[in-house]
This record gives sequence, structure tokens and C-alpha cells, in this order.
Amino acid sequence: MHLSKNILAPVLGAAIALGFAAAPLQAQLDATPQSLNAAATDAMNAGKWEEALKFLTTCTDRFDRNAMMLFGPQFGVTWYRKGICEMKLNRWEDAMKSFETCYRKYPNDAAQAQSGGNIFNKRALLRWGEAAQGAEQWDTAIRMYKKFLEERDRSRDSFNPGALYINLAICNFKLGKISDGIENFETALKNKVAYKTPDAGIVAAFQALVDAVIEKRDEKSLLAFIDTNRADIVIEPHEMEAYSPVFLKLAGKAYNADMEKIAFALYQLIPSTQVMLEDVNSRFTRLGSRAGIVDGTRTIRRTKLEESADKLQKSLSSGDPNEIIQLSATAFLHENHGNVRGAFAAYEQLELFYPKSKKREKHLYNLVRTSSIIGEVMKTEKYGTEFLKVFPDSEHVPAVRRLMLTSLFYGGEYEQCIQIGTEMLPNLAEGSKEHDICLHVLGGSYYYTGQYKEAQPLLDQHVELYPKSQFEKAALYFQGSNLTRLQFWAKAAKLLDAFLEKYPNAGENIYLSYALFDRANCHYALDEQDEALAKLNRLENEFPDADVIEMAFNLKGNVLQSKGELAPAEEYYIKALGIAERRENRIVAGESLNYLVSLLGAKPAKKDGPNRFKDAVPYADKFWKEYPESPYKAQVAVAQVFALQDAGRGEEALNRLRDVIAEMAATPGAVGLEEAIGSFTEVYLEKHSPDELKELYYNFPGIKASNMAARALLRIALIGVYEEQLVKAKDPQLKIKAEAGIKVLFTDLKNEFNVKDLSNFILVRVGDFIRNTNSPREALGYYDEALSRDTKDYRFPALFGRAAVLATGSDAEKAKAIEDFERILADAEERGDKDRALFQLIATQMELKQFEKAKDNARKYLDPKDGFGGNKPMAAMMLAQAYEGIGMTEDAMATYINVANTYGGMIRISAPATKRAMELFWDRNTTSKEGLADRQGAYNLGRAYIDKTRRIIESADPSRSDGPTQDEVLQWKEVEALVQQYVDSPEVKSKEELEEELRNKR
Amino acid sequence: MKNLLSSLILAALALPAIQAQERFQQEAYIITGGGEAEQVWIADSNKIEFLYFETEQGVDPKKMRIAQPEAIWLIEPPAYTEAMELFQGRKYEEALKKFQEVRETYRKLLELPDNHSSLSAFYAMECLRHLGRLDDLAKAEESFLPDDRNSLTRPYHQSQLEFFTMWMAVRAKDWSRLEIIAREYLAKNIPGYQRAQAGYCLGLALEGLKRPIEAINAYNIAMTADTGASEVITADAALNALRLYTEDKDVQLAIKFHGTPDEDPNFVGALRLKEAASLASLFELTLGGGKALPANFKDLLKYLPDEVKAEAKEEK
Repeated sequence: MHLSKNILAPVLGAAIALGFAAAPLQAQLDATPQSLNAAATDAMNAGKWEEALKFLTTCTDRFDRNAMMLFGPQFGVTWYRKGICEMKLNRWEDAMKSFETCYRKYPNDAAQAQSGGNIFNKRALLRWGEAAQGAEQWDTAIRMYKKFLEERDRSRDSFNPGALYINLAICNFKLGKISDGIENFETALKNKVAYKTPDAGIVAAFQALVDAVIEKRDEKSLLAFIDTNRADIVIEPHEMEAYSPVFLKLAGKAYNADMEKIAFALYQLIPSTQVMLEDVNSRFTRLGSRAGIVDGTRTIRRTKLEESADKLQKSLSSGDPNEIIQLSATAFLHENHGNVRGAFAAYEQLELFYPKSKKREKHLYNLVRTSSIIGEVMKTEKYGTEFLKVFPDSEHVPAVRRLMLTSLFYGGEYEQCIQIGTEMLPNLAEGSKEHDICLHVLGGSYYYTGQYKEAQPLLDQHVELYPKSQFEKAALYFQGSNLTRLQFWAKAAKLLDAFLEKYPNAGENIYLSYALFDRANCHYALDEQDEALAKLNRLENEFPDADVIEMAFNLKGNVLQSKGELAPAEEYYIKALGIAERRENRIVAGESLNYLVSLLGAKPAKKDGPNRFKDAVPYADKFWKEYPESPYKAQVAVAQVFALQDAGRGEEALNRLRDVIAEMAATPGAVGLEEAIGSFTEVYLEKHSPDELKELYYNFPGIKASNMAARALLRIALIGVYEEQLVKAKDPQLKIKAEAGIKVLFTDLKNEFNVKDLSNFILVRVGDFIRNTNSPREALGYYDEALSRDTKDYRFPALFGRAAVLATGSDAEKAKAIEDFERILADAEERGDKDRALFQLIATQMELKQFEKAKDNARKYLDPKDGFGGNKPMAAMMLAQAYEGIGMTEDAMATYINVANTYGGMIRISAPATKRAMELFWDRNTTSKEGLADRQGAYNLGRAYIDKTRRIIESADPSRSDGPTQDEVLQWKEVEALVQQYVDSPEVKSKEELEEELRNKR
Repeated sequence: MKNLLSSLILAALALPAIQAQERFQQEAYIITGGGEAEQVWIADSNKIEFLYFETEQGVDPKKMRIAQPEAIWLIEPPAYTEAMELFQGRKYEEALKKFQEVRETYRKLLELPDNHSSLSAFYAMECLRHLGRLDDLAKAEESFLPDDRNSLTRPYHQSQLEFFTMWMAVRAKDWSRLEIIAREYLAKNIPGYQRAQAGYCLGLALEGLKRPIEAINAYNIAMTADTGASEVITADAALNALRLYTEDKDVQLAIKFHGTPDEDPNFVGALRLKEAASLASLFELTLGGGKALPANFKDLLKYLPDEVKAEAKEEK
């Protein structure tokens, strides 16, 4: 063997290498290609690439010029090795040149190839391609790889085809040739086992593919590729730890490039951290103390498993495994596409299972936010509370507080809103967003829970402070609507009108139908039947499916019934019943039945007139069968009495009343109990005596002795019976007995019962009783108790009673009384309540010398258009006095005269009016154009009055109740005395003298 | 417990012409202390010991107690690799057949840890689950032996066996029980693909119990727990949720009022309709795993919020 042909023989190489080690400098100077190659090989084997490169560079520098001639193609190996070292040192361009030289300058001829020669001549093409790939010269790389495949010596140039096809794929992807790249990639994948395609290569090619499709925005190619090759690109969980960061990065890149499908296809390739760790642990255990095992194409390395286990464990214990990114991206995707429920689900998983994440604050905040959006109020509350506890200093704290409140509110959790809002409100700055929300939510929550008194100031404040609030519409509606619940009808009407005018469009105002219903209620309460009907008709026409339509139909029935239009009223009650039953609104259905039974079961106006009792019975039966829990049971029990009696079921009616009374008695604040007792009393007395009734009422079946409220009601019912007896009885003994009974019962009520136990009805009755005794102020406690309650029954009678007492007190109390009277006047539904309130208002204003106001109110009272008139004579008298008070003497005189003339027979009015008119004329003392002197006129007025009324006075009989009272007689005599006083004056001629003069003139 | 040698002898007697390469054996490494490993071919095993040959064509079987070496590494049979690739490629029918074959072929070693017979039986059940063949899953579960269970070395495999019990409650339509089981799992920190199953089953249970909105929430857990990697569950959960939305009376009312003056964007039905539309668009994007949105849900896309609609259009 020729020495020159064996320059790379290992044995020589080893000897030379040893020489280098002993004296490197001298050795280099004396070196031969053989020695330099041997030294380089040793350094390469030791991974000392820089050192190896020096030997090889020395060799090529010194010997390359004549190497082909001196050493033949074998010298090409030096260039090959040099290229390898340069690649290891990432000097790609140098490497390319080295491989090119190896290939071009040192080709083998056939004989040389047989005997060794440049054994790397063809493989240099492969390496050239790799170096070009390193230098990012993709075209060159592809060309070289292909050239290698064409020219390689199949017996000698072994290579890893998997790696080659992966590289070809990568280069194509880098050039944007996606389909060419995929073709090569799939070749590598399909022959994964035969080609020993490395997992690392698969990941690298996949990465290049993703980059290429993102660059080209060719999402479809990648999705199709994944679909076809999923099995090959899914990496075993134990190996995935190393690659998952790459997949996450790629997915993130795709996401940022708005290629969500790709992003998620990539996220889906990453197994759960737990699965990866458990797979690693399983394999680690199976490996025992073995460093590694080759299993098929896979090499399982102990160190790698240890490293992966360590990293996975750390990612779990640090709280930020891959799932944080995956779930966050999922949440973002779902929310971005409008499926907030999906985002919520993802955020909840992040919070529940990754509470140690560094991003927990963000996750938890988003969880609170999304739960609020989808209306999971209890979750908002739960996670919001957690957020505030864990991140009290977070910038999101104000937002979380807001979300918790609004979420609870819109979720209907009003009690919780009240609890939280009450605590929050005092700590919030007025004018802040939080204050706006809290005020709205708190006011609204009180409104929805029927705590109208508490709601009103908050609702008023909200409207005042935040006219531009996002809740403005709701706030305005609540404010007006709440006033209707408080029965401030006039004020509510004004606000609701303003609201309806400001937001007339249904598309923008979700409260429109509700507001129309509330406004109709105001009209009805204020006795404005036609206006109520107009609103209800609008509601019916424009909002036939409104939430309140069945209630509106009941109200329409009420209005029509009030107008005497009974048939249409019945029709609307039936309509309301139908809708309520369809909507399973049992309360309204019960209410409709109640109205139907009341309407059809009413006694005819004329005795023996036609009735509808037979029609009422089926409704009554339906009520008891289907709606026995209805709050209207007392009303129905009362309303059905005559109809059932007519049907021969009187005993049943009575028993029903008794049962209802007993049942309702056990329910604090049950509405209608007093009416039920009243009705029972009436029916019972048809066949029993008052004494039997008394006995029954003192031991009513089903009512316990401790049930003070019910017992008090029964006492009141007895009082009613005695009062009737007092009126009707002709026997004085019976009257005395009845009077004594009433007094005893009231005293009992006052002494034995605590005001807290009494219903509003009883409180007012007892109050009224006391008000008419010598200690009227004691009645205040009863009225105040009734007014302090949230229940609205007997509110106006209680207000009147209280005002009536206060009107007799100090000026300050009178002023308070005036407020109460005005409230009744504005909002009471009963005409009688309004009438007496206005009258007392005038009287109180007179006492406070508020003559101007008193005058206006008296004129209102006397105006026939306003429909007042329970006490017109006295009101007229007060009008005259008011005129006088404000110095309108002429008007006063005229009014006094009118009063005296109009109510002449009513001595208590006409006498003082006449007297005062006389005095005013006397004091004015002028003479009219016609020559009549005021003083003569004053006399004439008085004289005419006493002449006209003398018969009444002279017929006075103390034993008769319909004659003038002693006081009236005295008042009349005062007029008579004044007449006498005036006639005694020389300025005045008596009636007789005037008549004499007249006769003489004739 | 079977006698290893006698079973081998019996096999030889039954087939006197048996050749070494035709007998059952699986390549393995017996790993002993100090990292040493002996390449062997294991022919049989019972709970205590296994029978092996030292060479592929050895004739002198040896016995070793299972507990004796540090570990036994069974080389993955190509048939198992193939089955697994089919499974990973979501070709569950084909994978099932392959796993069933491997299950039988390697049955002799099912007492060995991580053996491929038990693993195949396990993955065959997983295939059945993915295919929704719950009756067959019930049968497969019955034939999954205690030794199979004991041989599984990964906790997530063990827990999946418990999940099959949950799927049996689905099969029995025992909704109340299913709700309890699913909620128990959802309270645990389990791998995402199992949480997806629990979410899905909870959705089914709540649907069965006529609690549709809660069911939709549960289906959303299923859709998100593993970013949709459980493609069958994700798509089914999305479709079930879409069906529940379209059955919702408020949603139907919102559809009726859509685009009319009576449309109220704050109405609960309108909000749900928007959610349904969004979900339909997400189905097309990713939740459907490439499947087309069923025709009966296509109309929902009309109700997508404008901003999402614009984005969806851009994507198309």
C-alpha cells in the first residue's frame, strides 16, 4: 500500500497525534498532512472543534496547492473534516467552501474510489447542503441535497434519509414552497421507522411549516397537513416536555397573526402537564437504574427523563404549567367570538386548579368580569369576594366591586345587594362611578324587595346626582314607580309623565310598558277613569305581550267596573285570568277570580233585582280548587257569600269565612282579614243574636288566645255590631247597653293590647275613638304605629287621624298637620278622605292665619267642578273669614251674606255669618250711590235674618235631636241683641219706622 | 395461577412442529442493579414470575420472579405502535381492531407492569368511548381484569378507568347519579381531557334533569378544558349547547323580535341568542374540528354580534 494513499490511517494518525502532544509547536512545523489529520481527528473526537480546525487549516494552507498531485483525491478528506469543524463552529460559509473543495477538487476516479480515495467526495455534497442550510442559503442547500441523492455511492455513502428529507422540507418551507416542503416532510413521516426520522427533526420541520403558513397566510395547508399526519406529529407525552415550549410559541405566533384555527390546532397537540409527568415517571420506573434503552426508533434516556420530570414538576409547583397559556388563550378565543360563557368556564378552571399562577390576579378578575356578564351572580359574588380578599390593592378593586353589585342586582339577588350596598355606600365618594352604581343598585334593590320607603330617598338622590348615569332610564322609572307603591299618586303621575315624554320609544325604553301600567294605576287611584283607560288601551295595543299585561287587564276591569261598564269589565277579568294561567302567574290569576266573584256575586242594587249569582259560583269554586294559597282568599270568601247562599250553600260560605278568618289570623299582616270578619259577622247575625256572636268571638275556633291581632279584630267587629245597635235601637235601655259595650270594648283594646299587635285597621279605629274623647293626643301613638309600617292599608285614615290631632296643637304641629292633609289630598284614593282632608286643611290654615292659602283652598272646596262638598256651609264661612283676614272686606261681606242666605236654617252658620256681616257694614259706615247708609243696611240685614229664623228658634225643644242646639240659640240671640243695639242708634231706623215712612210716602 | 412451564410444554405438545419464531414471545430488557440490562424474550407470565428465553430463538426457557429485577422493559410491539398511531390519528374504528388484536396476541404477559395487552385493552376502551359505543364499552370494562388494572403504571390511566364508571351512568341515563359523579371529578385537579369528559357528562346529566342553562355551562367546561383536543367531546358539547339554546323559549322569542321595534338587546333571550350565534361561529372555527355546522344551526349565524360577524367574514 502506497503511503501517500493512506494518510488517514488511524494507526499513523495516532502516532502523529502523540508527537503533537509532546511538542506541539515544533511538531506543527514538522507536520505532514498525515500527522495534521491525525491530530485533528483526535481533537474532533474530543469535541475540540477549534483546535481541530487549526490543524486542518494548517494542512490545507500548507499542502493543498499540490495535494492532488502529491497525495491524490484522498486529500479531499482534509477539506471534509475542516468543513465539519466549521459547521460545528457555525462558520457556515467557510464550511460550504470546504465541502465544495472536497467535492470539486478531489474527485475519485473509479479505481481510486475502489481503493478508498476521497471517501467523502460525494458525502461532501450532503454536508455542503447542510452548511448552506446553516447559512440560510436554502436554494443551494436543496440543490446540494438533491445532487447528493443523485450522485451518492449507494454502497458507501450511507446517510440518515429521515434527516435529509426533514432538511429538504425545512429548506422548502423557508423558501415559502409549502407544497414541496410538505411532500418532503410527509416522506420523512411516512417512513418514520425505516428512515429513523428523529422527533427533533419532525418538530423543526413542523416549526418551519408553521412559520411558512403564517407568512403566506395559508392556513388551509397546515390544517390539512395536521389532519393527514396527526398520528406522526403527535409526540409521546414523555418526550413532549422538551417540545411543548416550541408548540406554545408557534401557537402564540399564529394567534397573534389572527390564525386562530392554527393556534388551536397547535395547542391541542400539547398533552396535559400531569399526563406528561406521569408518563415520564412511568418510563423512569420501568428503566430502573439503566441509563437508557433503545425501543424501536425511540431512545429513552434516563437523564432526559430526569430533566423532563424536574422541569414538569417545577412548572406545576410554580403554578404556571402550559395549561395557563392554553386555558388563557381558550378564554380569549371564546370571549373574542362572543361566547363569554366559554371564557368564564376557562377562567374558572384557571382559578380552581392554578391558584398559584403568577397571573392569578388577572385570571380572577376576568372570572369575576365574565361571570357578571353571563349573569352567574353567585359566582361573581364568590369570586369577587375572593378577589377583594387576596388582591386588596389591585387596580381592579373598584371594577370588581362594581361588577359584584351590578351582577347581583341584575341577577335579582336584591337582599345581598342591600347588604353589600348598605356597607359600601358611606365609603364611596359622591360623584364617583362606584357611588353612582351603588346608589342605583341599593335604591333599586329596596324597590324590588318592596321596601319602598327606604328606596325613595336613594332613588331621588340618584336622579338628582347622576342625570347622565348609564342607569338614568332605570333610575327615572324606579323613582316614579316607587312613588306609586308609596301611593304618592300625584307626584308619581308627574314623574311618570315626564319619563314617558322623555323616552316615548319602546325600542329605547324597556320600562315603557311598566311605566304605562304604573301611570294607569295613578289615574285610577286619582279617580281619572278615562285617562286610566286611555293608558291601558295603549298598553293593550302596543304591548300585547308585556310582562304586566294580565295585571293591566285586571286594572282595566277595575276601571270599567268603576265606570259601571260591567260586561266589558267581566270580559277583561276573564282575559286577565286566561293570560295569567298561561303564564302560570298564580297570584294574578287568583286576583282575576276574586274580581269575577266580586263582580258577579254582588247583591243587586234593587232588592229582588236580577243577579249573576249563578255565574259567580263556578269562579268561586275554581278559586278554592286551584288557587287555595292565593292572597285574595279573604276577599273571595267575602265576595262569594251571597252567591253561595243563593245556591243553598250558605253554611259552606259561613264555614269558609270562619276557616279563612282562622287561617289568616295566623298570618301576620294578612290583608282582608277585617273584611272577612265583617262579612262573617253580617252573615252570622242573620241567624244568631249579638250575644251569641260575642260568645263566639271571645272563643273563635282556630284563633289562639295569644293571637292578639286577630282577637282585637274580633273585638272591633263586636264594636261595629254595638254601634249599629246604638243607631237602630229605639229602646233607651238598649242604647245605654250598646254605648256601654262600645266603651268597654275600646277601653279593653286600649289597655289590653299592645299597639304592635294591632292591625292598621284596628289602630285607626282605636285612634279615632280616642281622638273623640277628652284626651285626643293619646290617639297619636296608634296613628304613628300604623304609619310606621310598610303595609299600605289604612294609611290615609291614619294620616288624617294624626293630622286632625296635630291640628289642635302648637303652630309647629299645625304645620305638620297641614303636610299630612296635603298628602291625603294629593294621593288618597277615597274621595271622602280627600274631602275631609281639604276641609281640615282650610281650617288649620285659618288657625295659622294663612288666609291666602285658606281662601284658595276654600274656593277649590266650594267649586262644584272639583266635586268636594262634605261641609260646604262651614267652608263658605271660612272663605268669608279668609277674605276678611287678607283685607278683602267687600268680598268677605258679600260671602257672609251669601252664607247667611244660603244656609239660613243652619243657625250655627247663618247666625255668626249674619252677625259678622252686620259688624262689617256698621264699621264701614258709608253710603251707597242709591243712598243706603251702611249702618242702616247692617241693621236691615240682621233684622231680616232674625225675622226669617225666629220661628226656628222659638220652636227649639231640648228633647228633640233635630232642632237648634242651645249654642245655636245663643248665637241667634247675639244677632238679635246686635240688631237691637243698632236700632237704638239715632243713625238707624227700625223696620217699623221704615215701613211707616214708606206708607207715608205713598 | 397458571404454571408457566407446563403451559409452554402444552403448547409445544399441541403443535409439535412449532418453530421458535412462531411461538409467542416479546422482546424485553431485564434491568438489574447498576444499570445492567439483559435482553430477553419473555414468553409467559403469571402474578409471581415470568418465563423467558435469553435469545430470540432460545430453547431453554428460564423463570424469574417479577419482583426480582429492578425493572422489566417490554419493547413496544410494532402492532401496538401502529394501533397507537391510528388512535392518535383519530381513526378509532381501525385503532380499536388493532388494539383488540394486540390485546389477544400479548395476553400472556398481562401480569407484567405496563404490558401491551393491558394497555391495548385500555386503549380499546378509549376507542369505544370516542366512538360513543357505550354498550360495547360496558362489555369491555367487564372483561378488563384486575391484573390489567394493576399493570397500568400511569395514574391518568387508572383514573380513566374510574371515568368509565361515569360513562356507564351516561349509558344508564341515571342523571342524578351522573351529576354527583361528574361534579366530584370536576372538583379535582385532573388532566384537561378528563375534565372535558366530566364537563360533558355533567352537561348530559343536567340536560336530563331539565336544567338547560346549567347544562350549557357544563358543556362549556367540556369545550374549554383541553383547548378542544378531545375533538369528539368538544364538538358534541358544542352541538348539544346549540340545541339547548334553540330550544330555549326566550331565545325563540328573541329570534321572533330580532330586527323589529320590539327587539330588546337586554332581554335574556337576546343575550342567549347572541351566545348561541357566537358558539355556532366557534363551531365553524375550531370546536367542530373541521366538521360543518349542521344545517339546523346555520341560521344562528345571522344573529352574531356585528363586531364578531365582521371578524368572521374577514376570516373567511
